[in-house]
Amino acid sequence: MTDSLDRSSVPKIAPGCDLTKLPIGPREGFVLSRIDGVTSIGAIAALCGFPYDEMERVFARLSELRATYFGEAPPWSVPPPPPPESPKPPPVAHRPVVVRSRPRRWSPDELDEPVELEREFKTRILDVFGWLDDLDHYELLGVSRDAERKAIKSAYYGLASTFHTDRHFGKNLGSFKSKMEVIFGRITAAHDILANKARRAEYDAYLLDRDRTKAFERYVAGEDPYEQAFEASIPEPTPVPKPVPEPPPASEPDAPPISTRSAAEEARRSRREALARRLVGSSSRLRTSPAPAPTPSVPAPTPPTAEQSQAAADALRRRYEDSKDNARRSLAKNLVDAANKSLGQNDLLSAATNLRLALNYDDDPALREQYEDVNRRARDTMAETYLKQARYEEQDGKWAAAANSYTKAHEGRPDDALLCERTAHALRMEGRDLHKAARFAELAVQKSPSTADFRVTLGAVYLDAGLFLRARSELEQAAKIDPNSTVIKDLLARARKMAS
Amino acid sequence: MNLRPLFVVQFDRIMALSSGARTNFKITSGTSGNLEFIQPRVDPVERTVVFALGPGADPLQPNTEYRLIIEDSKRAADRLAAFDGAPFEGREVIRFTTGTDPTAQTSNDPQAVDACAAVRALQAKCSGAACHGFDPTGRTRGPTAPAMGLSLVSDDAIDKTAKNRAAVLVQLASEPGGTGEASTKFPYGLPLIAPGASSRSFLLYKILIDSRRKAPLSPSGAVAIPPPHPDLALENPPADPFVRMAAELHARVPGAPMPHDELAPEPGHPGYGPMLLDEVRILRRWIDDGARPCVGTMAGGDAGTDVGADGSVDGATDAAADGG
Repeated sequence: MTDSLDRSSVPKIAPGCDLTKLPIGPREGFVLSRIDGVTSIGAIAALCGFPYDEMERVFARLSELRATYFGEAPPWSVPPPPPPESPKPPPVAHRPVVVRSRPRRWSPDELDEPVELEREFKTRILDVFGWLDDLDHYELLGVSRDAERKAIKSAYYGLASTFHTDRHFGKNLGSFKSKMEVIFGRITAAHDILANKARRAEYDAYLLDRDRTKAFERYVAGEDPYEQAFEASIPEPTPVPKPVPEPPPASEPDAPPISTRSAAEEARRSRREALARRLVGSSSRLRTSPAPAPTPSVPAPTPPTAEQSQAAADALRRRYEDSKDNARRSLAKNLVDAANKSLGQNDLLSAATNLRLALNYDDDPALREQYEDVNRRARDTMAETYLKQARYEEQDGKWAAAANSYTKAHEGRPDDALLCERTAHALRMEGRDLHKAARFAELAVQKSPSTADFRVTLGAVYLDAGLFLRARSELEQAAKIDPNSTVIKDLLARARKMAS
Repeated sequence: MNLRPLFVVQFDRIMALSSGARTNFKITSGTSGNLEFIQPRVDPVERTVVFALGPGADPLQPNTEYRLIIEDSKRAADRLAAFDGAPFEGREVIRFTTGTDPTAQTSNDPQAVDACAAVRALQAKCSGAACHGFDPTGRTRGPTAPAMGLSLVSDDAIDKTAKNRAAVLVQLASEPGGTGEASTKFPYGLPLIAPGASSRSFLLYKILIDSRRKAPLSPSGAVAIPPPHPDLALENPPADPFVRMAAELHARVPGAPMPHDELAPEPGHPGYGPMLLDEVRILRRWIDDGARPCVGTMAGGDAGTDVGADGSVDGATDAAADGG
């Protein structure tokens, strides 16, 4: 995968690559089936329905296998290696795939720290460390989501051994030591979860929720992959070729007529191809067709005049606009069909997304009403998904992520006091924004003043923020509600001590 | 002499983990054939192989001369060799005569096991905040993520991060969960602590390669330690036999000797210092006794974690951490 990959990049199948023997999963296969050498990644993403980061992962894998490439020619000069006959464990020097296609999150100065590590390894540590919080366990271990247990363990042992500080015993590792330890911890946590059937199932469910909430966030943000795909699928009108100037009077009457006929024939062929490109959206196939041999017996055609060229251009533009309108109507219908299908499968988010997109192409009042209803139901559902996601993150000690998910869940259910309290608790544990934590805790207490636990959370937030008088007051209220709680007694004692 | 004795055969170096097969040791007298033994146990601290009569075997006869015969086996799985691959050469015959007291009792390991002493030793020497203890801030590593995933700070931490947990440094990515001999002449596939099998516990080797412990590795005091097989000798071996032996072991065991002395728990602290010989022996006995908790009964580890009878980690279920 290269850093230059963007939505407009056009992938191509590597020549000589036997696609039937590639060790790939269904996602990679599905994407491969959509590569025609013309369609952009953005359009393929929309066709496949995959999030863009998943497309990046898929193309990273396909590039590694030398199955696809971008640009004029493959960046490698040797033919692709034959795929293994049977599945083999990955090499020891396993590398998280996704990191390489992401921008750097470290300063070049960090690389210059004088430590006893190879520069390449330092780069790798910084790359992985920089993206550590954004990589899921599969990405971190560099395995696919359907990887077998043995592949997970192989990847883990390869990576864990690489990042184990004991491997570099006696060397000055500087600040890289703590980074390696953090990476090792994350790799181990990833392994421990993915190697355990029940925990992996829980994690997969969490990832599914996360994918859904990410899609929802894109939906809320108004990102419209179909729009880009649609635009990409309709070629811009190619400028109509300028009228061929009148041939100058023959200065040499003896010049063979064949050369004049060839030039005219070439101009006609070029115009035909331009028209075909506009209608088909591709030029590569036509370019491979041999040009028809000139027929000496046909008299040379008369070049078009400026008026004729303008008329041809107008006709072409009209055909283009008609083609675009037809495409929009057709797309709207397809989107409504897809929305109805999603509704049948209880996939409200996809349905809402498709309906909203359909409205862009056909602003029908009944369609709008249907969209608004589905949109409301989708948001309700997403609140539940965010809540599940937040609980998993909370259990995993990922407080920043949990705080974010609880906040999103709260947006969907603003009247839920418990959600306010959980959001406050997660924000407090994250420790970055105690003001926001206090606001949520206050909201929870406001909604349910007789719940002692909510007041405890608020008191704890005040304590962390150094607002000891407020903490004491809040915890005294909590103690009145639940006078036997040792937690409240301890916190209250602390608040009184700090306030005095 | 006890008529159901515990046989302890000390060698000049640590024996290989595959050694100790029953076929390597035979006891005969003029009137009896070979006696049945329980599976011998390798003690990496004392460099011994320990075995006893099997439960179905008749006790030794009083006032009888016996011959203990030690010899290598032709079967690859039963080879008698040192940890570095040096083969047991020749055939050793030791003669002994039993006494007259048929009532004396013995146990497989006569010294009492003090689990709390073992846990205390790990706490004192290994469990600083910078090492295999908790990170008190809980910010960078999290409260349950000590150095290299190994925490030796409590029963629970040992249970979760050390027992039956694969030692990453001696695992092969190409053979996850497999066991065997690595190119360094040290076995791979070992767990950090294999309850019941100190000789398969990587943690013990990490401690044994610390050559600062100036004490003879022998219960009886200084024992002559002959040089290793010429093919396995170090280029510049240390003069001190014990230091040389630790160095030989270190040449095979990946990673650093433990405890790290440079990782002081706090500024100005002299460091943890080496694990004393008595502490190592306590740890060895504790592991061979099942590495039981100091207090109460520990909760089970991760679901699915299992250990084989020989202390090997089940390749399908192990988790991992490393350190020492």
